[in-house]
Amino acid sequence: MRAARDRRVLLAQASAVLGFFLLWEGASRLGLADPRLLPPPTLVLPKVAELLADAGFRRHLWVTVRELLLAGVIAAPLGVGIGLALAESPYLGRAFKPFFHFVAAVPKSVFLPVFILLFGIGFGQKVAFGVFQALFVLVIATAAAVAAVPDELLRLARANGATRWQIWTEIHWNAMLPLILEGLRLGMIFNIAGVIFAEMYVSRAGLGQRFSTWGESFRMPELFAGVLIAAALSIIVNETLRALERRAGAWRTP
Amino acid sequence: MSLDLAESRQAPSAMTQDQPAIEVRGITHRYQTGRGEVLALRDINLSVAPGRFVGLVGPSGCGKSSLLMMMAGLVRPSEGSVAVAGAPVTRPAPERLGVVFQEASLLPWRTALENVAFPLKLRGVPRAEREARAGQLLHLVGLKGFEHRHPHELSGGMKQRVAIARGFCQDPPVLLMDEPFAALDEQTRMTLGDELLRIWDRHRKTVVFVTHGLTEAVYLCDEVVVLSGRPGEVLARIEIDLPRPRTWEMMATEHFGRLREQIWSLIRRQA
Repeated sequence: MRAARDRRVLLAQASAVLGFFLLWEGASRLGLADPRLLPPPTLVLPKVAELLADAGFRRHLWVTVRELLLAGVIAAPLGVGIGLALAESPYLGRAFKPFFHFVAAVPKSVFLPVFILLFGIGFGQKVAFGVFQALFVLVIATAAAVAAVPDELLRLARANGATRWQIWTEIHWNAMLPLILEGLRLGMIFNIAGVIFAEMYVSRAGLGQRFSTWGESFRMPELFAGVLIAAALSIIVNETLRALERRAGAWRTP
Repeated sequence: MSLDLAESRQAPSAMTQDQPAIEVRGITHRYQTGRGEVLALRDINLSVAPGRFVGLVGPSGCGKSSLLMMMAGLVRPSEGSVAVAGAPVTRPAPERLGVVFQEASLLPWRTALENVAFPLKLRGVPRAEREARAGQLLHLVGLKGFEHRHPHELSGGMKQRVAIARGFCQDPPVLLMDEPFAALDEQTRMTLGDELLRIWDRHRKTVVFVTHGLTEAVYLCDEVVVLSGRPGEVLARIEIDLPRPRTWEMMATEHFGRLREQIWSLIRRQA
């Protein structure tokens, strides 16, 4: 019964993907869209394989992946640390939390020129901009995660003589982990957007640099193939974190 | 299966025999709100003999739960003190005082078994030992076979059973219960009340039981302490001289009704 339903869902999803590519192919072949602007998937998909086989392209891809990972590795402890400090110290929280909410609301792309002046146009600038993009949502998510720890469980732990450390490891850690992972996941989405955008704006290497070059020189099959690769990269990062989030928060879904 | 909960405790000495299990001396409590100071409790004096089942009732907001939290060492009173078996309580002392809260307060990421064993884990008792004990307690509260369920897989009544088992886990001589059945439906409440009495009858802990259910108070307790409305003061201590074991038929007796009426008339004048 259940297996049959799962099969039907899978079938529907497969048809949707197939239908999407068929529509795309059809639109391009039948002249509904200009094939010079929208090359058909039969042209784009082989291009994906071609690009991945190309050492020059792989070097660009690897630059972007390293920028993303390093920015993530810096942003995660920094964001969680600031979030914890804001949530745990009533003074710090009241004084500085509003600023994080304010800056979180501002589109980060407007700061990109400042980052170029501060960090140049190389690897370090992309990482710094990625960290900047990811940080705010992570700080806000962490502070919210602390606030979401149920008081009744803290009281229970105290009534049973838990030490401060035990209260953190037994209660806070477990209650907060799924929410922090959610913040991290959203942060990584911002991080990817930021890094690729910074590369497109000005850079010597990276996926974004390829995109702008291809766009300007009208190389549409490469551009669309690159977009598919960037999409796959983001989806892999997002789904990995989502799987971790589900495991850590299995107790949340009845 | 018999479970000797008393084996890990030292035999009560002659001195502790005639010493009250709990002694509340001159507790007065005030707290600050945005609109000024509130006097919550005024000069509460109370002494509970070992092995007694004592109820604490009063109009809502009278501070009965606060008083219990002070006995548990979770809230410090503005004035006065609490002593358990003669030793002052200034902070939580789980080996002397077990607490069962109104919300079952189970860790949602742990199984029933791990929840019962949680207080022992905090004390560093090895896993095998603490889980063996938790397993016996789950059996005692009728949850054999549910050891590895998570709280979201249990009904409200089952969760509260787990919480009661956890209260017994460290085998404390005193059990403080803060409206433990308030969130349950009538039937579950009655059944759990009976189970609590059955366990209590076997292990004879001192129980302080906060409730707003007067029938429940009369049915379970040896004595009911009635608090007044804010500021809470001890209005009366009513001895419940119904024989034990208690049976449901007793509720229909005239005597039961009179005791319940007596408490109700005291509270009604306050409300």
